[in-house]
Amino acid sequence: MSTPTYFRSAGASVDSNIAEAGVDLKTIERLRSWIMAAKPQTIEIGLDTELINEGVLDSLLMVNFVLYIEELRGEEIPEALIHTHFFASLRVIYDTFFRS
Amino acid sequence: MPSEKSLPDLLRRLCELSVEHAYDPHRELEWPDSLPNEGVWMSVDLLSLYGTDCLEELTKEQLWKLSRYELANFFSLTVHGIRDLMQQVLSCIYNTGYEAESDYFHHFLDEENKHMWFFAEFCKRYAGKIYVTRKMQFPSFAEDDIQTFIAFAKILISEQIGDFYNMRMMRDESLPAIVQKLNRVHHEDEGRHIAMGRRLVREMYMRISEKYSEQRRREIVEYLRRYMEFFVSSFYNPGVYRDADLDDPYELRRTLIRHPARKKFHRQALRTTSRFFSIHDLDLEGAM
Repeated sequence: MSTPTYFRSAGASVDSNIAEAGVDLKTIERLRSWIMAAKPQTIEIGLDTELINEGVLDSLLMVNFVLYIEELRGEEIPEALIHTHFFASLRVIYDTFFRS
Repeated sequence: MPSEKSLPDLLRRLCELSVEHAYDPHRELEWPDSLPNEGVWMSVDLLSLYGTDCLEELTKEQLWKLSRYELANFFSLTVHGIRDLMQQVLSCIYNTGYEAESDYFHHFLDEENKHMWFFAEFCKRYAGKIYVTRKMQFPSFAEDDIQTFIAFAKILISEQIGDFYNMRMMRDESLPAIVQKLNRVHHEDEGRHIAMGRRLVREMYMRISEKYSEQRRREIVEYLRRYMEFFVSSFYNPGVYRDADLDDPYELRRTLIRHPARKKFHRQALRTTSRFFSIHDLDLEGAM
C-alpha cells in the first residue's frame, strides 16, 4: 500500500511523530479529501501544511469546511474556536477538534 | 434618459434624504411581548425548503417552527453582515481618497448601527439567540486596492440579496406586524445604501480595470461569483434545521443547495446583482 501524500510531503520523521501522537488517520484523510474535492491543489497537503497562509483554503471555502468538521465530530464548533488560528493546519485542526 | 448625478450631487442628495428620514428605533419600534407560535414568521416562499418535497413533508407546526428559526437566521446573517461592513467603512472613512464620501459615511454608519440593533433585538427577544457566524475574515487578494474593491462589492451583493428578502416580507400580511415593519424600515434605508454602493463599486472597478491584467480581472470576477454562491448558501444553516427538529441537518443542507428548485430560486434572488455586475463588465451569471 502506498504512503498517503500527507506523510510523504512531510517526510519520514513526521510519519513516526504521527504514530506517536496517536492521530486518527481516517479523520485526517477525510479532511484532506474534503479540501481536495473543494479545491484541487497543486501542492501536497501534509499534516503541517499551512492551509490559510499557503492559500489552500480561502475565506469562502472555510465556512463549508467548518460545517464539515462539525459533521465529522458530531457537534457544533463553539464560537470561541471560530478563528483562523485553530484552522492553521490539519494537525492543529485535529488537535483542536478531534483529540479527546 | 435623465443624466446621471455627479458624485458630489449624489452624495449631497443621499445625505439630505438620510436627514429627512432620520428616526430613532428605540422610540419608534413597538415590540410585542411575544409573537404567536401559530403561523409563519418568514414568507413561505423564502424558506430554504420551499419548492422541494422536504417542505411538503412538514406538518403545519413544523413549518411554523422552521419559519421562526429561518427568520432568526436571516436576521442573524444581517447582523453579522452589518458588523463587517461597518468595520470596512470605519477603516476608510477619513482616509485619503474618501474625502467626498466621509459625510455620507457618517449617515451610513448611523443607519447601519440602527439596523444591526433592531435585528439583533428581534433575535434575542423572540428566538432567544443570534445564530453564530462561521465566517473568518482574511484577505483573498494581496493588492490593497483589489481587496478594498472586493470588500465593497461584497457589501453591495449582501445588501441587494438582503433587500430581495426585505421586499418580499415587508408586504407579506401573513407575517407578524413587527416582522413586516423591520423589513420595511431596512428596505427604505437600504435603497440609499445600495445606490451609493453601486456608484462606489462601479468607480472602483473602473480604476481596477485600467490598472490590472485581464487575468487578474478574471480572478476577481471568479471570486465574486463564488461569493454570491457562498452568500446564498448561508441561508441553509444546519443549526436552523437542528432547532426545527429536522433530521440529518448537514445532509439536508447539501441536498437543498443542489436541488433544481432551489437553484432556480437562487437565480431569482441574485438577478438584480448579476445584472448590475454584468453591465459593468463583471459577468457573474454563472453563480448558482
